[in-house]
Amino acid sequence: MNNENFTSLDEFDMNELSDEDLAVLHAFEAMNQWPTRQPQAKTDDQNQLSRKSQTSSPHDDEEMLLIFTAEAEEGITSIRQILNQLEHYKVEDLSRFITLKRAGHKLHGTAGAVGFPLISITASQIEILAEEVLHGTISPLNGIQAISAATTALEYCLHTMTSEGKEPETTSLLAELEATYRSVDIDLQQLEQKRTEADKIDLKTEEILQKKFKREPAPKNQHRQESVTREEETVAIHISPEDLSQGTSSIRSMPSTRVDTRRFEHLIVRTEKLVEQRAIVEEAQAQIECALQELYIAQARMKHLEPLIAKLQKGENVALSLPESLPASSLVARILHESAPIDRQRPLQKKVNHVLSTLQPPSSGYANAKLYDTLKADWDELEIDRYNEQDMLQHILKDAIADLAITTANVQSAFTRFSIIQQDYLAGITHVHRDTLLLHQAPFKSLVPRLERVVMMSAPGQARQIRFEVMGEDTEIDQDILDALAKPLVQLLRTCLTDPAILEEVRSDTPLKQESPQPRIWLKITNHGNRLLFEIGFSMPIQGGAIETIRQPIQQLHGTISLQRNSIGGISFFFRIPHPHSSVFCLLVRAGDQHLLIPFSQIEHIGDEQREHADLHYSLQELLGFPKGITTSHIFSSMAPLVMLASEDGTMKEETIGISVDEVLGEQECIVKPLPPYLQRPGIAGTTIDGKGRILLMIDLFALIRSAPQYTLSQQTNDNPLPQPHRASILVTDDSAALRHSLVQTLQHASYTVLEARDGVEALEKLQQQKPDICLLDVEMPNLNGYDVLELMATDPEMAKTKVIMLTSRSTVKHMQHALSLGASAYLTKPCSQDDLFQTIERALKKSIT
Amino acid sequence: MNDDSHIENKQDFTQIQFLEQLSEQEFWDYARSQAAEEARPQATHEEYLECITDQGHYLFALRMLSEVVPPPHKLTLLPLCPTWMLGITAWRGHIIPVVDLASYFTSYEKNETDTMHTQSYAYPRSSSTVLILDDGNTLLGIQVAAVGSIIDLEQAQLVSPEQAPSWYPQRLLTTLLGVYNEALVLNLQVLILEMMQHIKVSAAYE
Repeated sequence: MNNENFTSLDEFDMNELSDEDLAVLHAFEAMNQWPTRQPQAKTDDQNQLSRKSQTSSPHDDEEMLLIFTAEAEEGITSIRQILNQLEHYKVEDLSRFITLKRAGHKLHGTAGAVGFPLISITASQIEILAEEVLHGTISPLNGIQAISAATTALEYCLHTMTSEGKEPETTSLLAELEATYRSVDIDLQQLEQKRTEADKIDLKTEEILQKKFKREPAPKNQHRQESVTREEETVAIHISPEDLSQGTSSIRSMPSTRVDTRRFEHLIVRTEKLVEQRAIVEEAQAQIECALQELYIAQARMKHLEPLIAKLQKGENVALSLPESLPASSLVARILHESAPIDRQRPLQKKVNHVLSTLQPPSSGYANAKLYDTLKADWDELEIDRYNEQDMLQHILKDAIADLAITTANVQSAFTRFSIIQQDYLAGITHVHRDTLLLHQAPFKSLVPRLERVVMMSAPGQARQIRFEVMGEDTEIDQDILDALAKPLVQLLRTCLTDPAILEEVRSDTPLKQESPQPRIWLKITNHGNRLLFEIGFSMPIQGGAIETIRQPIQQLHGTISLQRNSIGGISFFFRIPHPHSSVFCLLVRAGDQHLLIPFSQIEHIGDEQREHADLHYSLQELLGFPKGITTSHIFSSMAPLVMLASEDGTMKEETIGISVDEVLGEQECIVKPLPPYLQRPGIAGTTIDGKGRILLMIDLFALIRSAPQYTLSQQTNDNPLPQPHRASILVTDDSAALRHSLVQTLQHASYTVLEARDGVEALEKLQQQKPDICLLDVEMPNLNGYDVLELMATDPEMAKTKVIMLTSRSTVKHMQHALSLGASAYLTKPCSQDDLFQTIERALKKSIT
Repeated sequence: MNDDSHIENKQDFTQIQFLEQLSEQEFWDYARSQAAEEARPQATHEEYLECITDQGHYLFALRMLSEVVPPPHKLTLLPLCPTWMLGITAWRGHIIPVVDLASYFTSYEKNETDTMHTQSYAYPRSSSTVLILDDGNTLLGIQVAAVGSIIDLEQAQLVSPEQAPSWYPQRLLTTLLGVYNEALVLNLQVLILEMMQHIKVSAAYE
């Protein structure tokens, strides 16, 4: 490696240099210290890592060179193919320049890192040229010519490198290239100067930031706030006029709701029925009042008799009359009242005769008939003298008791009728409430045409037909949520489909003589109780950067984002969004002494523990972490109900999951409300209040299982129970195979356990499964870029434990700040010296331990 | 003199500890409430409700009491909550947490406020009373064994919080306004904030 032409950084006036110049110079200076290429005796005995790295064999270097050559060849071929397409077919298709820019950037970073400056500089020029074409500074035609010349230079470099083992002479080739650029009116130096002015690095600020960052990283909260601000900017930049003119306008203007006419008419019919029912309710209420009045009178009579009995017991004369204040509704009361003026010397005979003549069974109902029979049976005219006031009082008492029994029965009957009518009325109110909520909902399909347009208008969509499928489009969604979802969904599709080269990658992955499969994008919506699940799946690789644009709007909806590789090898994004104030059919169960609700949408069937087999078996009470108090499950363990879970996303399940509960109490339809933020807990989807004024928690079983770490721990099989000495594990995430290989070798020689990931999705998979101590993360990657990975790591406490060191060719302060704000622990620019790399890793490891 | 400065330092330290635990929003709410407190002409006397727990007597400022709810209480357990939180209940359309005052102070004594899955759970008592507290921003239910009489107290009648009984956790002196006749006069603003903070972050410890 010939580095004599390059002087130390100290001899330059830094302010006169562009950021790219500085990056290159840093790279060369770093390469001087790179032991594998320029071995030198280490004086620092303590730097064991560096010493170990010197042990890399010539065989390793050759292998790395082979990998780099293959990768560079692939990159240059890709650039050449795009140039050919642009020259012959679609010169106006600017989206191709994005691919050129990306290819230039990748080659620039990789070549710089492995120590080929000429390839790195030339590739960097391709990146600049492509970017300027996209900005409109250079015409596409001139841009193509300039990039074509640069590509020829790259091809020449690669050829020389493979045949002679080194790059050609630097100065003359670069001078020739500059002359070619000038022939098509491109002044590269001027362009670089402009770029420097536009995105000028304040070196002092950078140094301060670097120092501050290395010594004391900013608090997490501060990072978050900066992240939010930055994200707002990003979102603002991506808002297109189409967005402004379409769905979002309804959010910004006066709150309004689009109403389905049929639903509105249905609601009117319901309310009319309610109005009709009002009269029936009022009538039933009047009947209760009437019956109650009778009851009060009967009670008053009983009360009046009490002092009379007391007087009689004392031998005093009793006047068998009722107070005038009592109403004449009681038959016996009326009789007594009318008979009051009768001569008191023969009172009983006259009274009884009068009573008998008045009571005409069975015309006067049960009470009168009973009284008649009693009087008739007891009455013997020959024994009339034996009857006295006491006997009469006894009869009156019997009469009063009978009267009370009848009126009580009347009240009960009226109340039962009222209860039935009231239940109907309340059911009607519930229906009206549900219908009113439905008015505010709209099927998801109202959004589908807009999304279809985005797919069709995208660069890959124009280049080749993409199949766009929507499943569950009839799912009813609150219009506010639908409006708020429109923008992130559009942003997601736009970002993922920015690069037309993704289709090239599909073709290249397809075996020869086989037609590449038609690219597919699918959107699947499922309603899980009061939670909506959206899957946005891609069958092909996608452009990274989507998470950044959608995180904030999804968080505003209190939703979560996750992603995974789908069954056909592509990427699927999952949004889980709560759907509050929705009516949910639930199973009411008991766990311990708690009554809980489980949405039927999460249940496949209910069995019992004896007959059902579940691959994974949980106890609801233990999942919730409730104290083991009153439970009957241990008494009838074989009969304990087992709630078998349905698949979360509607697909075939790999494992069956059973949740044991103490008792199934029934089913219930309820309106679920969310808990206040400070009471929200994972696995608790919302609450409802039952008829007894008690709060019932609605459980989201999937979320509850996910949030129960003690279970996942207990299920892990312990294949290696012997304690092993801990070697720090490092995940190297870079889409460049050469760079990955180089890093893996270096780190393995330094006794680290090394894992590799080719892109952001693979990195996330490894982070979840292997939980490395450190992650070396590139920014520019397909599927998920480095920022996306950082964003998703921050949402998962387990992944967040891994310290992230950014290792990227993006050298500006802007990128560094952004990465730090998203939670990165350190930021290194490619190429970096081994010493810097190891020192940063050790610092991050110490931080991780403390 | 040395003792006084030691006590002052200790108080400052607990105050700082308390402030550090607050979120930004809670910090500013607290600051506003303190500012309002200072701006308001200092009342010379205030009415307090005497409440009884197993540990001793407490005095609650009547102006912050919304209701004294007699038993029975309909409480629902919530996962990942501090051991001294009895559950949640519905009160006038609001869902509010209910805590056991005695357990709260006991857990502090045992230094286990942050351990949410210890065995010593507080249980609702069938004969207990729940006080609904409202600090203007938050509603909180507090379970006490019984309530006593209403006492009208002059500010001057209170003695310094440092005179609190020995069982009272020293770290919680900020939750006291003072002591009157061995009854602890609680600073409800601070107490509510402290409790809510614990309830909020308890899920995050998992």
